[in-house]
Amino acid sequence: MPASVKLQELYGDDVQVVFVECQNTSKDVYQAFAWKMKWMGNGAMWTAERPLPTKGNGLPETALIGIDGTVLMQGNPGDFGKKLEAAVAAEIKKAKEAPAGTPNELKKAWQLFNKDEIAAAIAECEKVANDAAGKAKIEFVKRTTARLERAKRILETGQIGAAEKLLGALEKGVKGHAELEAKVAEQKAALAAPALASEREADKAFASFVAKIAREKPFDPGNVKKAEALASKYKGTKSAERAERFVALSKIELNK
Amino acid sequence: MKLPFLKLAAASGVLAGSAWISSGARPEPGSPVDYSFREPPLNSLGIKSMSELRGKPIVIDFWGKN
Repeated sequence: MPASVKLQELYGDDVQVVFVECQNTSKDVYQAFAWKMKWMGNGAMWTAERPLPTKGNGLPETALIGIDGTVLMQGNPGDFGKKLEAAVAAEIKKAKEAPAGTPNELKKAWQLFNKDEIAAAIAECEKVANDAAGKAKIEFVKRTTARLERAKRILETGQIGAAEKLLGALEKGVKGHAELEAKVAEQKAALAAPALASEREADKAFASFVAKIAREKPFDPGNVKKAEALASKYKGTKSAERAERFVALSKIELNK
Repeated sequence: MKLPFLKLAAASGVLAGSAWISSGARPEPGSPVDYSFREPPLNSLGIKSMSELRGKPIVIDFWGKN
């Protein structure tokens, strides 16, 4: 478990760690436990739903899914040794290159796309102008549209900072592609709505709070009081709800 | 008679609880993992399915609190 936390912290947005609780522990209890263990506050996701079945009979078990979505390794992490981290690093490197089997004339387009230079990647496909280029262009637009949809969903959860980060990267990347520029501009306008001012302030305050306390006794009474104060100050925002949940989790007796 | 029933029930997820019920199917070798979450994971930042993470490596850490 701590090894996966370290992987998430080491590689940041280049990797996604998904923690899957497999003992039917309630969500409240396992999330409180994860806070207490100082495993929160990074980019890892937490769920009790298994994206694929476990393979062995015991826990822990780790699966590595490659950039193409296929399972590369699965088993007891203790048996992997350094192989897991090496495989993650190799996949991150591959993610910056064109996918295997890409025709030579489209490698530049993929490299541009992987650097978030979306408009330039699409322009490169149009320059190549063959069937494979047409397919690559469709894929680039599809993936960019999916990221825009995601930005919208993030915004709905009041995580303004994360939405701004994603839309900022998209805005820069689509510059020069009129259709995608318009879609990003629409989202940016939603983000700038005056009604979101309090959400923005609350999100910033709660994110700053989490960054400060995640590694140092998260449920220390002083930290819980700070969370209560945030919940009260920003009442009515999504971040206040998150602060309230943090307070509630801190009160769960984990040693029962 | 009991044992076959238990095997059947476990295989269908009846006895194993919600985590089993919400488990994705094992993909065919070489096929991508395409699970859609019924409930967004905590800290998912808008991610609703594994396919949305395509393009970056994913480490799935199966763990238990106990």
